[in-house]
Amino acid sequence: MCALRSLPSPQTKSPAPAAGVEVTGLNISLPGPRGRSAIVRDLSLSCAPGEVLAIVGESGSGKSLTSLAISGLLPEGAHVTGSVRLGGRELTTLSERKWRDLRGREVAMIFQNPRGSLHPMLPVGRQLIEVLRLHRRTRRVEARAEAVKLLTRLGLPDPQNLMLRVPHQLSGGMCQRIALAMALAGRPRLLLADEPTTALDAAVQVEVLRLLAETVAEERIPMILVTHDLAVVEAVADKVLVLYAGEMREYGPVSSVLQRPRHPYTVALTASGPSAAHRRGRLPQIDGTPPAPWDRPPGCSFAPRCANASPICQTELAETGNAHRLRCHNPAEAAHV
Amino acid sequence: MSEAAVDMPPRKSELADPVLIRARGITRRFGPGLPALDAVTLDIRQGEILGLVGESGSGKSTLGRILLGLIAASEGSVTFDDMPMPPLRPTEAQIVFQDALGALNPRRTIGQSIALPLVNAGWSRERRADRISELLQSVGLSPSDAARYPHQFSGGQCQRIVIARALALGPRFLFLDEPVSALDVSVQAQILNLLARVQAEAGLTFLFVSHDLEVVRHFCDRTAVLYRGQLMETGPADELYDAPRHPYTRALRASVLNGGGLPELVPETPGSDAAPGGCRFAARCPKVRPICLIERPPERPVGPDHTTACHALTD
Repeated sequence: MCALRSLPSPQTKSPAPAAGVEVTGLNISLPGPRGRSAIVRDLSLSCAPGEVLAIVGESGSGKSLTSLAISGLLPEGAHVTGSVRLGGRELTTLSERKWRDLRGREVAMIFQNPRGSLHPMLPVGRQLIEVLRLHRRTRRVEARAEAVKLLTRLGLPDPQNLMLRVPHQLSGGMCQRIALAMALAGRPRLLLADEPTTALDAAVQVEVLRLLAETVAEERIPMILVTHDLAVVEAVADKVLVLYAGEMREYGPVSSVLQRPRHPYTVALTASGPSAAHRRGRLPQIDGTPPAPWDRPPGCSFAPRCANASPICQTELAETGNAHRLRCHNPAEAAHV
Repeated sequence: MSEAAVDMPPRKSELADPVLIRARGITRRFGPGLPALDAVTLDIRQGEILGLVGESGSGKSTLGRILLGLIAASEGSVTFDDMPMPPLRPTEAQIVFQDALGALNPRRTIGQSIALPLVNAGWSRERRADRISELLQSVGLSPSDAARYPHQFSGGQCQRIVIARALALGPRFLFLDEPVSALDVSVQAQILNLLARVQAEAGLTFLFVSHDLEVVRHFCDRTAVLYRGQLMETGPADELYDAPRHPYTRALRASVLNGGGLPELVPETPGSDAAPGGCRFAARCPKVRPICLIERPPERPVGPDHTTACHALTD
């Protein structure tokens, strides 16, 4: 990870030094079967330029919704309070018009299914040039030259030829690199990657992760990486936020949170992957399922599944820590792992 | 984690075990160009869990479907319990897909979905109701869940329902096509534990497809590695993980993320496909020799119950 940071940048044309993203007290609620319910509650995070922040959690924990809130893509009817600031600018109060100007340019996104984010019938070069012309307002010839440069920088061989192909002629990894090129076309000040390598094979996953890490370091862009794969977090992220039922459980540097997890949920998550320790045996599992948003118990929402739960967990939520934040009354010992 | 981690006795798959499914020289073409499967020969032994790994498009699902008799092979033969295939009856073999929600009819209650194979097999209404309750309980759901619809369940619960349906007629063989790939790690642990339990209880035979080498090492007895339709290596799951022999298996093993930073990989050189006669991996292989482009390497033993197809390993 650190070695990647020192790679020479082939071309540095970053805009004015971009500040990071700062989320404070974010609440997102959606209309549901039992009236409006809070999906994400009291979430705060920050990500500095050149830093990778991973948000991990199970499906339904609100991690994708958080990233949609940051990119202004929340579904109709969603209600947001709290603040999301990018480079000092408040995003939650922006009009849709302002968002259209910002999204894709200053806030760029990469999704899980790279083919799904490309038009299936158009050559990928044409799609990339279109984005470049839109964001940089240049002429076609210049956009084409820029496209070739961008693809070369992303390590794609023979870009001229590649640009003539349509998505189905390219592998998943290639499509994800094209998607990354399109995301970088607007020289973004924030990169949001939602499960960017989940659909890729192991070797391709490593290549795409490396590319993302290098890009973020070279361009000094903050990146928020949404994933459920702790191995991916360990490989590329600097900080990690563990979400459970829409709430922060543990938040801090990867080296601290994943190496010495304190919250019983993080401890259980890190233990439930297959590893040499419990080969062939029964995997440690967390029994039960997360609560539905309209059914969330008071106090700590993990308490019903938690082995360490005590009566106070049913009524109150405690928060401790500064660099490594934790919401738990009965955390595991610091030297657990 | 209220349940303690109880270790089960390690399973063992021996060369001498009786073979349940015998596939010989399976080739499948879907059109012009290279075949999706190219002369794959493989035994699945009774009571074992055989892992099948490979990148997308390597032919894993196609092989499983041929073994189930869902599609025909262009060449080669499959026997099930020494009887030629097809037809394979649903009472003998079943399939579990990755997308559990997609595998359930959204307009049927899960009780109706689980009942369908029983209806087809001519079970009476009362026996069906009992069997459905029994199946739901065995996969960790409640009999009262039978009246609910798929969208009311989480992804992990849907996978439990699909497993219950696959077990309805008491099959001997399950083809599990990436059953845990779409699940979160905590749910993945629940489903793997469930599958291990039903496998041990009924002495089932599994063909388990995954692209996660660590899951395969944990869950399977043996592993078979496919690359673009050709079998590269077959051997004990531990050995394939700890000491892979074939250059492709080594590359797969090297790309496993387990703590620390990103692994260094041999860069891929795309676009230079091997000639149809040679080894499919030759175009990307760090140990490639001239012969690899012309002649396909035969499978040779490299250890007990461990074979690999590679020219570079023969001398």
